Amino acid sequence: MAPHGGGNCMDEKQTILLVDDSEDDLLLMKHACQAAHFKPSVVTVNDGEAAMAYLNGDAPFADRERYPLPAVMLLDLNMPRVSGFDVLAWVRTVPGLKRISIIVFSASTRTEDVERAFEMGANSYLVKPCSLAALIAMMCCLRDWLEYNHFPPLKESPKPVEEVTAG
Amino acid sequence: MKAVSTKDSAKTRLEALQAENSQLRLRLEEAEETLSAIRSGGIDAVVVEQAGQNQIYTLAGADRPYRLFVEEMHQGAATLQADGTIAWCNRQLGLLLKLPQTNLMGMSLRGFVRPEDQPIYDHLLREGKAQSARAEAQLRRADGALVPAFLTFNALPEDCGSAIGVLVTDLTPERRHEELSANHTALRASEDRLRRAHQVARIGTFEWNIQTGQSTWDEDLEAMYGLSPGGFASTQAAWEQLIHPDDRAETLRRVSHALASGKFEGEWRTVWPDGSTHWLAGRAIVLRDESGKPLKLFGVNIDVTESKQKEEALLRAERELREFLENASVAMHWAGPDGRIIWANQTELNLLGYTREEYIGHHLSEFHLEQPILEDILGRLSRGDTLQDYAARLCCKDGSVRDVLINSNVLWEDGRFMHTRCFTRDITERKQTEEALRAAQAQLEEHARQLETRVAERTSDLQAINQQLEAFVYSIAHDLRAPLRSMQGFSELLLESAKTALNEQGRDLARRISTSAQFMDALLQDLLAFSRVAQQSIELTPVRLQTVVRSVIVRLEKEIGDKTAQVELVEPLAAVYAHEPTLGQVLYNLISNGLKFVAPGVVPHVRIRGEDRPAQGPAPADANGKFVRVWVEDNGIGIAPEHHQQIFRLFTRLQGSAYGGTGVGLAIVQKGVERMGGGVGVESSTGRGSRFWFDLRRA
Repeated sequence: MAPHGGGNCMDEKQTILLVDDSEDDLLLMKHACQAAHFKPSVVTVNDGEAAMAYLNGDAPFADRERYPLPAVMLLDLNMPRVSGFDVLAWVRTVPGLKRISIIVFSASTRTEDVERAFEMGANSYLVKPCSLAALIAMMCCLRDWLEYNHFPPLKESPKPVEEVTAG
Repeated sequence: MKAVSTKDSAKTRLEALQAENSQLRLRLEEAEETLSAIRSGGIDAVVVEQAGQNQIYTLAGADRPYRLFVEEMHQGAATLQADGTIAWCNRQLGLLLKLPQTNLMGMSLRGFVRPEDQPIYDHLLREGKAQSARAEAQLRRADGALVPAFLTFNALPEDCGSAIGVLVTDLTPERRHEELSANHTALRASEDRLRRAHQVARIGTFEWNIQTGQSTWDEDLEAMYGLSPGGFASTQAAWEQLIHPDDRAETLRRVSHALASGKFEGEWRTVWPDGSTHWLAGRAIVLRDESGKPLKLFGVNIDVTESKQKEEALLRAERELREFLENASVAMHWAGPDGRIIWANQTELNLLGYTREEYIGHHLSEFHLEQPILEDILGRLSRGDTLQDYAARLCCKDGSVRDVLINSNVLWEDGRFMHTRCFTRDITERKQTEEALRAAQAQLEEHARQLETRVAERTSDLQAINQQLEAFVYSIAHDLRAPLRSMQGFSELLLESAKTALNEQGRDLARRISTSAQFMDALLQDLLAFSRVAQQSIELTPVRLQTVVRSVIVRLEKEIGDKTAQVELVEPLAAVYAHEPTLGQVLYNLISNGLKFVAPGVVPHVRIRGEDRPAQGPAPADANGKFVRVWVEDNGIGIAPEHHQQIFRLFTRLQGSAYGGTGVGLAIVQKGVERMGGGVGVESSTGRGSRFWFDLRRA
């Protein structure tokens, strides 16, 4: 599908970061994204700590050429050590990361989780579908939404001096 | 009985005098007869002793007995010479004129006659010489006193040497009798007045002769004892018997006391023959002889029944009032301006445990626990205030303290503080009860607080357990679903991407994996829903049924479309008290059941309608008690009546996997409706469709 808007729409130069501790889910997601003909490049990390390191430009993600800041992050909630909520809370405190659109992508249907996610600054909440077909359909929708949506330019601020601790 | 006695003694004297008088007259007559005998020659001579010499008056036939008779008789007798010289006189004339008989002879009788009466004497002498004459005249005795006398002159024969015989009768007793007689008349009048006065004054008199025991009463006194005139037995003993037995000893004691002191006073009762009781008061004096020996008790009785009755009535009234005051339920005392207790009733003494001696005359400060309070009380009272329910604390003898309320004011007379009048009510028990009540309330509140704390602790424990349970269920669902997603996702991927590599059998197996994974996912989702409905906190609010039904229909749009089913909502539906997400879940399950359990080839038809139900049980304060029954009716395969009870149980499935039921959906319906305060049921039979209903309180 072709974008109908201006230059800020999602294109090949932009990145989507998938954060999930489940290798299976990441694999299925990648497949679904392919099946949905995603234009932006899809980068994956395996847990919350890695997600924060990636966004912060820490090793091994210091090279922004290889690991550019994502315009959109699909974030699982239930992860070991640093949960999706922890990542969400942290991102919203870092000035240079505030503009990243965060889509919670969780198996949880609990109302509390939905409310809390939006309270903490999530932009969207998607429940992982059980079937691959449903997942592909969802990714198609997401692809269209990404194409129609206008994103602000990302301005990375200087790295915070303190090392961010997990938890 | 002075009057009576006087009267009696006067009478006695009178009688005595009359007797004496008649005796004298008798003698006089004898003397006259003697003289006439002498004159007629019956007597020969009379010897008359004379100073110095005895003159013998010879009478023819006179002898010694005559002489002796004249000599000893009680009248004065004399013979006079013609010039009035006393030739002879008897002894009695000497006694009468207080001169020796011998001295008189030779004296002139005229010298003994009062000058005023001397003409009488001269007349008598003149007449006496001729024949005889009589007259009264006053003679002057030798000591100067006058003596009334009756003089009889008789001429004597010449030859006897004496011219005239004279008899002198002393009239003094006669005079006295006349005087007494006059006195007696006066006394009679006086006695009449006295008697009338006694009758008016209800006074009776008596005279008790102590020596003889004789007691003389007047009629008035007899009347006072209920006796008829003369009805009194006239002895002291008889009187004693008339005294009321209860008063007898005391009265007699007073009598014996009076004999010593000289005065009697007393009050006693007498019982009349008719049985009535009368009060008498007596006063008497004792008369004594020269040696001081009591002779008579002399006095009066007064009937005081009436005043005694008044006095008794007064006493009774006072006694009753006193008893009332003493035993009133309220304690009372009077205190003087100095704060000392003048009087207190028994109730007050009982209240504080003091004896009368320990309390009366003592200062109030000894009994008040808080002196400033007492000072305030006395200050207010002396300013003229009236105290109403003034709270104070009093000390008992045993050391305990009573809480009291005081009502008091001062009795003023002509601006003078006479005494306080203080009423004291004991409220110790009331106060203790109040305090006990307060303590009990405090304890109760404490218990309630503890209970609340325990409930809160328990609640928080339960909440913690619930949260743990929920986290457990959630993680099961989440963690179980993750591999399911993988199984399903990869089996689909296998079917899609490797369809050329697999034969038909391989593809069938991959499809079976996918279907099983899908069913298990549905089961897990239902379990999650059930645990949510069972555990989540539910707050009931008015919910529009129609709105919820419509939104459920929208959620089921795809399934409805797939089956070209008909879902009919019969409007309007009332509002109900419900928890909206739970109500949505209940309706979703019931409607989707209606769509699911239909025979092959049958177009599902589901109808939702409502009806009012009467009140069931006590209604909450904010509800009207009415219920709404919601019907969800389908044209499905129906349920045999024997299964109606069990289909609401968890994991109960009547159909095989063909209909895709998990056995959880109706359990969620029942649990959800119960948690919203309603009930569920079904009317159905095999092949006739099912009519599920649930009741909720109408909003």
